[in-house]
Amino acid sequence: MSARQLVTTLVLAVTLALAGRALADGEVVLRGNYWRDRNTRVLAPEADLRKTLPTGTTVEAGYLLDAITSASAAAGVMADQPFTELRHELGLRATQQIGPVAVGAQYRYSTESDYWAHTGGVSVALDLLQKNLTLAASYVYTQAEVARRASALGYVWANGTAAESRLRTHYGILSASQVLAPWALLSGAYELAVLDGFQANAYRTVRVSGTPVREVVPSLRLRHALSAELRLTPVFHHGVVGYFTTALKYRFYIDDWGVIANAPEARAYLALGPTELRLTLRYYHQTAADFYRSTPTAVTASGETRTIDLADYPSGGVPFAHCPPPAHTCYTGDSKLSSFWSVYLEGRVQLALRFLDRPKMPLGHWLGAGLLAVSVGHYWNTNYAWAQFGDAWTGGLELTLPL
Amino acid sequence: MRSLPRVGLVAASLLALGVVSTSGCARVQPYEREVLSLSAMQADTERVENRFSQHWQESREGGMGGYATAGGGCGCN
Repeated sequence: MSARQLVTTLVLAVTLALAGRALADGEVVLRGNYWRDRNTRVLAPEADLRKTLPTGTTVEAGYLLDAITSASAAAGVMADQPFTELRHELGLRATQQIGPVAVGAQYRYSTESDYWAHTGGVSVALDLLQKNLTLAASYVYTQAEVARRASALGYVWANGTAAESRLRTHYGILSASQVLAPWALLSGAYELAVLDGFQANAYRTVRVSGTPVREVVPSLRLRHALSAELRLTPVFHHGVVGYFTTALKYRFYIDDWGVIANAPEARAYLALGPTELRLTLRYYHQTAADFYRSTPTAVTASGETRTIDLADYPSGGVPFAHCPPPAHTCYTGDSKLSSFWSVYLEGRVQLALRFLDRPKMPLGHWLGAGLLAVSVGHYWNTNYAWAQFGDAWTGGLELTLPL
Repeated sequence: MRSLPRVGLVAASLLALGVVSTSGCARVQPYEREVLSLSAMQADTERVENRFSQHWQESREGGMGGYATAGGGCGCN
């Protein structure tokens, strides 16, 4: 039995096992994700099952297939031919409610032709003040092995040896959620990630002293994120409007490589009969990493010419902490470490499938309790990020059914 | 160069301050939670969608976080 058959069997087995517990609640989510930018197309179908048992145990299983078709050298294209890579991801999670406390554990495995990652974590959440305040903490550890494709079937370790090509990530999250009023909810989180190991892209090159070489980045990175979100429903059951909800979110990010990022986001939900309309607007801005160097360069792409800060190290690499010996310098061609801003706009329509709840409709009662959502978004990029990736379209098709 | 351990301490303190300052807000009773139970008021109902959003954001941007879940696990840098 192949790995994919094993995963499919496991997901179906969990679905059938949990579907029999009629008194508990749960859902199955089937979703198709789409991403298309200048060089890369991603089709990512996924299935997620979640069920809460009468014992207070919640189990969740998920499978995602990432089908990435890319013509980008940074994705490992070795010639002028786009190629498709498949990434499989399987996740399992269980949470047990013990009075006001919920403790959980999770495991996730991701595999592709040149990258393998095991992720495990634990979490605890505490409900206080008659569930008006929830505090939560979690710790997640990921160990990844990074390789570089050397042929259609073979690979070599990205950094020489298996040990030197390993990346360990420690991820800690503290979060809180506070009910402000019967129609208002405030939540916030602090996230800390410590990345230790190989973090460069094994295929990406950058010009150093006029010569293209594979990028070298520090082996240690401390990343901080602080976010807050306010959800308000000022309109509820007013005429034809079922409800109008706004979600205002802000995330501040900073790391020891010098990247500082701000991401405000606004989202509005409007319920009209069986449909819910949702609009999302997100702005993102970041500064460059302290070891990022560039030369203003005119770049033509997608029929447009812009002057951008193209990664370039005419004077050689930049001395920086945790850069490898013997030179202890770093250099990168990654636009994610350059300065740029972006805007994302997305619309979504969600439809309650109550019209399927008909006596003569097979499985009508079950399908009639479901939701179908379609979303389309556009991502505008700037500066070197625009030159490297271009703008992008996103799409989503999601079916949620009770379990 | 900024002191990043201090950044973490400040961030965690801000979060704690937010919790303490808002915990004195009105106590909403279980029978008053009809609006709070709306799917639009619960970020968890969008958890599957948020996973892909987090995935493409971390593949195209230098920042991370904002979803209170760990991302990563792919060679998407």
